[in-house]
Formats: sequence, structure tokens, C-alpha cells
Amino acid sequence: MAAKKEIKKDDKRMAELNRELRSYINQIETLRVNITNIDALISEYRTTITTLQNLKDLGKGKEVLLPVGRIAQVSAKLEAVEKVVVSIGSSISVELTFDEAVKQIEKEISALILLRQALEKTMVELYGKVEELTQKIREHGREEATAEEGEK
Amino acid sequence: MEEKRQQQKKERNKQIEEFISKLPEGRKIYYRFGNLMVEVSREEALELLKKEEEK
Repeated sequence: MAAKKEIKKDDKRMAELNRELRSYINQIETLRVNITNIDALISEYRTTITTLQNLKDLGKGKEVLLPVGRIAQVSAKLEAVEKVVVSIGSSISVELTFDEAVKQIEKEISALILLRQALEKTMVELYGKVEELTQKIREHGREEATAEEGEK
Repeated sequence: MEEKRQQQKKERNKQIEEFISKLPEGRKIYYRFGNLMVEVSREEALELLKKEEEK
């Protein structure tokens, strides 16, 4: 009877360890998605800087196609790219000079890189915890098997 | 979690407020209402920012 109770208690511990493990794995998955989103954003911002630079180099009067929704485009004449309207968050955009705009976007990229590094660090820590927990679960399983062998 | 998000939003809005305040005179400021970008004055932008924070 006492041995049965002991095994039951062990089952509970094993379930707890498994629950904890699943939670860490879920957190890692969430972080991975966030990092992928950040990478996409960094790439988009870098493309924006390149596009702004190209538009500036092409100069005033060049014909460009303006997207109207996803499927249609209308032509327009390019003005000098001396002023750029940049979103600074919370639905607000401001008119900046070309250099200020590039600097602002670069600043955003730096902030995203810092955030990515922090998320990566957390993910490495979580991987460590997963490793530790997996080891614990393995040991626990081995102990249970030994106890069952002893009972027989 | 929600509290932390609110705190982050407050900090972000404070940075935006400082950014707008430091903008040289004559620079245009826009506020996005859905798909529409509306030109607003500096004071209107700050007021909208305050309202957005209260949401």
C-alpha cells in the first residue's frame, strides 16, 4: 500500500515535470515567432533605406508606379526626395529631411537588433532549462523503473 | 502582463512626445485615422497622443 502511494506521488511529480517542460517549449516557440517577426521587420526597414536612397539618386521627374491596393498601380512623377514622412509610432508620422529619415530608420533597426539579442538570450536560457528538465525526467523515469523492478 | 504593456506604451508615447517637441518649426505632422493620414498641428498631435494613451 505504502509503495503504491509512493508511486502515485512519483506520477504526480513526473506530470509536474512534464507540464513544466511543455511550458518552456511553448515559451521557446513564442520567442522563435517573435524573432522571425523582428527579422522580417529589420529586413523591411533596410529595404526602405535602400529604396529611399535609390529614389533620391533617380531624382526629380522620374516616373514611378504608385500601388493602389495589391493589384493595381497608377503612374506618378517623382518629386525631389528631400522630405520623407516617417512613422514614429502611436499613429503619428512626421516629416523629416532625407538624412534625418534614414537616421531615424537606422535607429529603429538598432533598437530591433537589441531586442532580438535580448530575446535570443532568453531563448538560450530556456533551452538550458529544457535540457536540465529533460535530464531530471530521464532520471525520474529510471528511478521509477528501478523501484518497479524491486517490487517484482 | 497588461500592466507591463501599459507601462511600455507610456514610455513609448513619452519618447514620441519628446520627438515631436524637438521637431524644428514648419515640419508637417500626420495622424493616421484608419487608412487616412491627416495633417495635424504639434498641439493636436500631443493631444491625440494623450487620448491614445488613455484608451
